Amino acid sequence: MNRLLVWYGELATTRKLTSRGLALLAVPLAWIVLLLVAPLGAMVAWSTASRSAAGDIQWSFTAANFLRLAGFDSFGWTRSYLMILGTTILVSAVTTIVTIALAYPLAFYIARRPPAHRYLWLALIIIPFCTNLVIRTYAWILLLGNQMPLARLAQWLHLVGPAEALSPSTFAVYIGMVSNSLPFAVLPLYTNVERLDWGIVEASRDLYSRPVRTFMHGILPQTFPGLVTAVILTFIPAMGTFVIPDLLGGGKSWMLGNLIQHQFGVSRDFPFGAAVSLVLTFLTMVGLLVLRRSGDEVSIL
Amino acid sequence: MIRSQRLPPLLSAIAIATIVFLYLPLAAVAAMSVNAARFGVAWKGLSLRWYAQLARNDLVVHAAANTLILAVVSTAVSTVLGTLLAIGLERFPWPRWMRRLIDAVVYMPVVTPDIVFAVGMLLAFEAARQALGGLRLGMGTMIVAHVTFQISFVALVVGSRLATLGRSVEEAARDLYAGSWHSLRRVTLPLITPGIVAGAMLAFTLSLDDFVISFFTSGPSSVTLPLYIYGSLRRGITPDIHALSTIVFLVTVALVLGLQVLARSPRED
Amino acid sequence: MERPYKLGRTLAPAGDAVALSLAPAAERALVDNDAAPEAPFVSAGCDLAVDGVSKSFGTVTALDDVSLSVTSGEFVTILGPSGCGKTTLLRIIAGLELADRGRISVGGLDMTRIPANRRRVNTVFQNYALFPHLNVFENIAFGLRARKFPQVEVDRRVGQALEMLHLEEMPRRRTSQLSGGQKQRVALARALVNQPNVLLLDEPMSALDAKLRAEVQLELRRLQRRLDTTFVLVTHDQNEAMTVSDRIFVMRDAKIVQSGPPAEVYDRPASRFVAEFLGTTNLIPAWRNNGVVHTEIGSLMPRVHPAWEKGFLSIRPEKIVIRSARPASNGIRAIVSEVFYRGDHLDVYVQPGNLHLRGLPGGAITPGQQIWLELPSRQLEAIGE
Repeated sequence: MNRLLVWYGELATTRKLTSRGLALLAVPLAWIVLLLVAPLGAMVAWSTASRSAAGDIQWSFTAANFLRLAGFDSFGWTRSYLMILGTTILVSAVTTIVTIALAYPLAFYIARRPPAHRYLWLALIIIPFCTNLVIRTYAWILLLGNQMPLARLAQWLHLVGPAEALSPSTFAVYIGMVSNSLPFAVLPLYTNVERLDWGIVEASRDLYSRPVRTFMHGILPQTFPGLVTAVILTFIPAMGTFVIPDLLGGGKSWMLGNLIQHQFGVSRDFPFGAAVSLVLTFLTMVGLLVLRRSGDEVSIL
Repeated sequence: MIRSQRLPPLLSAIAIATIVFLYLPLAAVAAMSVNAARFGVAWKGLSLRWYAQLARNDLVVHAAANTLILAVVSTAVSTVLGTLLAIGLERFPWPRWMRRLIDAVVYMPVVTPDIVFAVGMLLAFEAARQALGGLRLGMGTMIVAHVTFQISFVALVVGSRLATLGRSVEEAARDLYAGSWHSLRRVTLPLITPGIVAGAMLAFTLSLDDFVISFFTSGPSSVTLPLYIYGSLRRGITPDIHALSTIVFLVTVALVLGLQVLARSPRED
Repeated sequence: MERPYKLGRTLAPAGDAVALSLAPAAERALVDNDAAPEAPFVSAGCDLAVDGVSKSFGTVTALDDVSLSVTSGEFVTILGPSGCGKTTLLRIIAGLELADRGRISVGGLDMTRIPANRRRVNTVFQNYALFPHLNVFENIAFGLRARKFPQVEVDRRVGQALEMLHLEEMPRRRTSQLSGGQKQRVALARALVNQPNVLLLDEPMSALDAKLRAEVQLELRRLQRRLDTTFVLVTHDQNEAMTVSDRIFVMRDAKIVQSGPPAEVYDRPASRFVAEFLGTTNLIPAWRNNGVVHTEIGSLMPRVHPAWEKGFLSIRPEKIVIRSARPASNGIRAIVSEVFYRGDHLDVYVQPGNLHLRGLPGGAITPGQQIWLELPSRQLEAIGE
């Protein structure tokens, strides 16, 4: 029904407002829908397709691609793809834990600076991230090289063989992942730590003499919203990485991102690539929903 | 509030070490970029020869130009589209279901993992190639892909600015005889300009920072600096890459800080 | 309650539900936001008539068949507790909200379907709603520029407005650098510079401290007399309403419950709500039996309407008189229970009936003392439940 109404001080009809609003939305919405929403939908179709021996795509509506990721193929069961799935979750989880463990002290450190200096310290955390990810990752390859001091130390401690580099290795992947997610954990934690009620921290320090319990009862509840955001911003992007394991892992610790890139690159197996992409998207969305829900519950409390 | 408590020294040490950890690799690259040695990392004296060599490298100059063109064009397009999207979403009496639907579409590029987003783009271009024929991956497809994720970020930044603005100033403008155009031109647009500038800056930074999406949607003629560096990692690193990385780092930092200062400076009447 | 305003011939009868569904042609004709202001050619105040206006938001009724009329150059106040619908009424007059039914007219012209920017009605908003990106001068000039006044005229008029509101020192200042009182004066100047037919003020003093508020109230009253513009002020502050207005409309639960000059509304409250909302009062439960009015503290002779049977007698604390001997009529023997010294007066509470007295009695008053009180008939109002 066409109704007359006053909207932001303007006397208009619903029909007029609707057509004007749709005119504004049309191009940007169509852009995103055509280029992202539709292809993601098409990915569902791709993931159920198969390739003939000649490499042609057949729209066969099969679950074979998903079964293949679970390890079942024409030769029986292998664990190789499930290992990649496991590695992805493990690396992301460990990265998140280490990042948060480093981000808390940093957030506290910055919050204890004089107010005028805090923005400078925050800028100091953010500035390295103005550089492209490839450059930052390469910088670690260089620094972890076999003639650099870090590798020399490891060689002397017999952690690696003589003249061996620290990269590529799983260790290097962790280093790269953690350094890549630090500011995304520090910023949300800092906004909470800055507003911390120190009275509660003091009270819990009196109650529980051990620092761990002081943290659990005095600091964690107050910084929980920031913690949830930090985990979202660390864990979710980590699940989808491919550059860091590609460059710093040397093919030894593949993650889902690498598997996807391989299917759309070298092996040109779009159906399998689409299936893996969908699984990754699904895991990401589930993670996001679970984390957001736990964040919501806290904000209600 | 009790602020007298000092941070335990161990925590301060960890904090400082973490900051060092962030800068150490970049410092190493910068140090190597002025090392005269051609092979290895042993110090062979200070030299700027790698910087000089870089300027003579047509591939690098071309890649730098591509990077800037990509960032500038995609930022311009996405700023306009994102602002339209934000105004269209925030300033009309949409029913609840429609708002939710549009919100979901807007958040899609933000929450989709980079690699899946890139693959989605690739599939879209593949479909377009089959439908239209003759579509080649290159600068065009890269710009389209970058715009697709930038739109949402611009729309979110501008949208939050619009939301905080509220109704009162626009109602005041109407009360003071302003018609639709005058109100938009003299009140709404000037007041959301900081949001639009912030959104554009974010879009620009995202474009410069992207590798994954460029990697999937570029063609042979549209190599950008991150793609060039990635490629040279596969071929084997030469010292001029250190020089290039250092320049890219310094230029990006200068650019971002400059834009910040620009956005903060109070406008004169 | 008084009769609804007699409407001019331009208006349809009041109370008609207005069909809100429109034919496309009519829609184009009505919703032209960029046409010239729709107003009578007078630069002074105009009559304002609100006729049978109702408005609801979802299930909440904000205005229920409200009618009022204001004559040219009058200063009226719409007084009521928060949520009574008074701000909605103001927004409907300004054109920032559309009434579900009923009509608005200014100077005899129907404004019901005229967009806000074509009404020569200006508003001083509660939060002032100054334009943060414009300086003081440009804020004030906004309405003139929107109507494409030549620069010379803009300079002249803004100059006058700045002078009138003592803002000559700060035309180039940003609004963020202004104090609350200065912001309020800019908001007033921004509205008045347009010489509106009606000026609407939405709780303009709620953000000011008590001392400044008293000054501004007097200033506002002087300004209105000088300009001879029609002022409609919305407030929940009964002192403010008493100080500034020619007439007060008291609102409660989406309705106007009483209207009249301040003294009349104060002295002759029509209901318990009005009596209690405007200042403090003593409410004595009472009933009439065979022509005699009985209360728990004895029978009294109030001002009483023929139809009144049962309810309360209301008397203001300052109207109760302390007598040394038994008064001729309406006298009560009472014992002082509490005395509070307030500087310029005393607040005395007595039993029976826990009556509240206010004033400056000649002699000393101490708790426990026995006194005679007179509740003068003229001041003793019989009101309903």
